[in-house]
Amino acid sequence: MPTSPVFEYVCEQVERLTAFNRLEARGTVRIALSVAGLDPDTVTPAQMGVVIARTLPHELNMRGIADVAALCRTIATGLAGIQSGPARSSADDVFRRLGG
Amino acid sequence: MAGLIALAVFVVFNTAVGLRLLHTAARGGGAAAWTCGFGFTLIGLLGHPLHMISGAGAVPVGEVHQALGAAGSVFIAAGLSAFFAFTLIAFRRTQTWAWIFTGTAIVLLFVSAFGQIGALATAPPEMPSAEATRTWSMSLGVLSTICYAWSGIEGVAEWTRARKRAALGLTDPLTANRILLWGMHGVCVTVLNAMLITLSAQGVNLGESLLAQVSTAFFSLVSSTTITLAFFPTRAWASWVRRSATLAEA
Repeated sequence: MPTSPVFEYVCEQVERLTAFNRLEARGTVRIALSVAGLDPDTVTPAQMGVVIARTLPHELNMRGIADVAALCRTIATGLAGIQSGPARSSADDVFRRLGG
Repeated sequence: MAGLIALAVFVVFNTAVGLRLLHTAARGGGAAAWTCGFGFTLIGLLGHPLHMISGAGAVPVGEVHQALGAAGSVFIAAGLSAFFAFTLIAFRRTQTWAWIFTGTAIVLLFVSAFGQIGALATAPPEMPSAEATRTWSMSLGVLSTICYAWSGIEGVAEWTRARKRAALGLTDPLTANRILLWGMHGVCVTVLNAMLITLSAQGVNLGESLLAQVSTAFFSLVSSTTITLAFFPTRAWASWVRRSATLAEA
């Protein structure tokens, strides 16, 4: 299954704005998503906004990246222009609807 | 007796939850609500009661009401098929292996159900019906265990992610709790099924075994409680779940 365009965008930005190679950038974003309980295949722009604000900074700090706050602000700014991928029903959607 | 009462409770709660979910499905709840609703209703309202009324598994073949027994077997197979489909839709919709797994399981469920019907129809009248259908009943039992185990594993695994999302405000804590309760229901029924299959394979008469009765009573009550809280959450339960989530965040 293809990963979400939002995930691809953030990975590209992390790779471009840090000394990380492609694998390191993708791995770091994957870990930040996992800490937030999210999946790279289904993550939406709104969810990624929370990841950039709450879990990605910590993961970047842990890996010795400088000026994480500015980097995350730059990535978050560009997030607004990213289209969400095709709508996919998540387990949250399913179980929310089952509540009636 | 305790086992019978617990089974009655299980049937009543499964039926109530099933009808509620079918109502939700009719109001636009989607494929997941239809499959889950049919799963509970076909098994709780039709499959198990018809199977018990027919006498299958309890009396000699000649005394079994064949039509009711056959209907019970088919409804149970259909209900379990619906649960397989629900797990697929809720957790693994985009994965090819899960579609193949579900399709195979559904075929095997109906093969087992019709095998059970055929065994009852062709066995000598004086033969105990439990003995006549042992292989097919065991096959249905194993498939049922796999069905609930898959649902339980997926539910608990998804809950470990959902509670992280809830902590970040990405999902409602009540939805995360519903996923946990669903997983717990799957785990409870799996443990009960596995225990009953093991006892049955050892030649224990489940109707007379204290261990079987107590286990059925305990796990039926726990699983009935989990699905009731999941799909009929009281106001007090919902506010307790949300309050606990807020405290955990703080």
